[in-house]
Amino acid sequence: MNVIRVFTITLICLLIGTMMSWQYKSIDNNNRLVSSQTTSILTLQEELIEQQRINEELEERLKEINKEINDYAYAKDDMEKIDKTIKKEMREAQILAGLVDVKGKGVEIVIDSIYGFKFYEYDLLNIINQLRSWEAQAISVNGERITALTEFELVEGNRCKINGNYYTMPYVIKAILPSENIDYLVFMLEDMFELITRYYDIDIQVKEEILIPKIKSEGALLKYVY
Amino acid sequence: MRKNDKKNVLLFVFIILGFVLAIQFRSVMSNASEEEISTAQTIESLKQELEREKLIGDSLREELDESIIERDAILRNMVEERGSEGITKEWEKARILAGLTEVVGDGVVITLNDASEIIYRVSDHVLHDYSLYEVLNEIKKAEPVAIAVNNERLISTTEIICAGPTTRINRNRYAVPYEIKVIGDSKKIREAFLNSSIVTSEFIPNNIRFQIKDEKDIIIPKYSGRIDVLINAVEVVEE
Repeated sequence: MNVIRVFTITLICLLIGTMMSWQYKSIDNNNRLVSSQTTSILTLQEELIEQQRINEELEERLKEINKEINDYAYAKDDMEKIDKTIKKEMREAQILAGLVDVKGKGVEIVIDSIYGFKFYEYDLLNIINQLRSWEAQAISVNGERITALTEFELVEGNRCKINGNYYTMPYVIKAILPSENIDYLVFMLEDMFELITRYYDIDIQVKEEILIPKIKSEGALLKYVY
Repeated sequence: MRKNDKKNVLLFVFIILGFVLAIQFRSVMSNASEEEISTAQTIESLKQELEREKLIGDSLREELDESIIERDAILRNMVEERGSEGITKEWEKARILAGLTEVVGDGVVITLNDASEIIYRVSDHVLHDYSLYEVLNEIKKAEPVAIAVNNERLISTTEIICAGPTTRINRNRYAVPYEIKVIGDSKKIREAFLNSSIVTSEFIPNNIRFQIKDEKDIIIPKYSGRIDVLINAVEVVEE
């Protein structure tokens, strides 16, 4: 009889132990659910604000374009104004396409290998993408203007193919960007390069005037235009 | 076991049981609490509002595109009327190269998506921003004419940046799946993509879903954002 009682109590204790562990897990899951819901709300709020900002920008732009259309209707004979507009539009397109030399305040990054370590395509892509995320408006690598379709391809002999031309280290990356973003970019780059400074000599300099040349071979771009 | 010991054990067991029941009760009550319901409602209403704002954005974008086409046509006509064909050609060339005009042509459409199931770490099975720009670099090696990701035209300033569960492209956010439209030599692009290390060493082992198909008459839209904010820090060096 005594054995049965002990056995029963053991069984009850085991059951309670199991229940407690379930209970613990259940509470933990609930907490995680609450935390994920809070994150979800924050993400949604962020996305909503971002979308509202985009819509405001679109609305503003739409107003501007419609105003321009109206202005042209009244300025049909004002050839000077039309010339000015076309010149402005053409300049904007040429800057974006990399068809003209440009200058402005920006950063110059020089990267050289200390022990002959390779600098991979991925590393260059990462830097270019960081520059773009801080709104770089013109970028060049070793004097090669970076366009929408510029490729980075590491080939034999540690050479990197950029716009069909081959370059080796040191890489001199120049970027022109809005002044207010320069400090953030430099901070970001220093943080990014912290781990690799053992292998590469990296120098980042902010310059008041940086010159970025136009695309070297227009033909390389123009062959695609049809 | 003495009678007193048994009582003590049972008392202890029931005290614990009482605690467990009390915690359980509170947990159930908190789950069904008003706060929980209001959180769910907030999420739902935020989702609806976001959807509404996105629809407004789409319609504004469409309207803006139409207005830009109209404005450009007016300007082109004015220039042509004056017989300045040279200027029109130069302008057109710059606009095409800058990604400011819609282009149509044959090429491929690549679709990328997260893995359908997580086998190892979650991060291994998610499509990251760096995977996307590596894929785009592989495509660029095949000398394409124009590229768009989720109809966002790639221009010289396009960034591909992780923004939480989404990716920011041309200052707009997009979530998976990513549809990459490319105009160019289909065979070359296909080979460059399928033989790239990002596909063979990352996508295939981690079950990242991808699909590539040849298509005719792919329409790649022009860049539709503001241009002035993309060039306000640079000054043209006159020759």
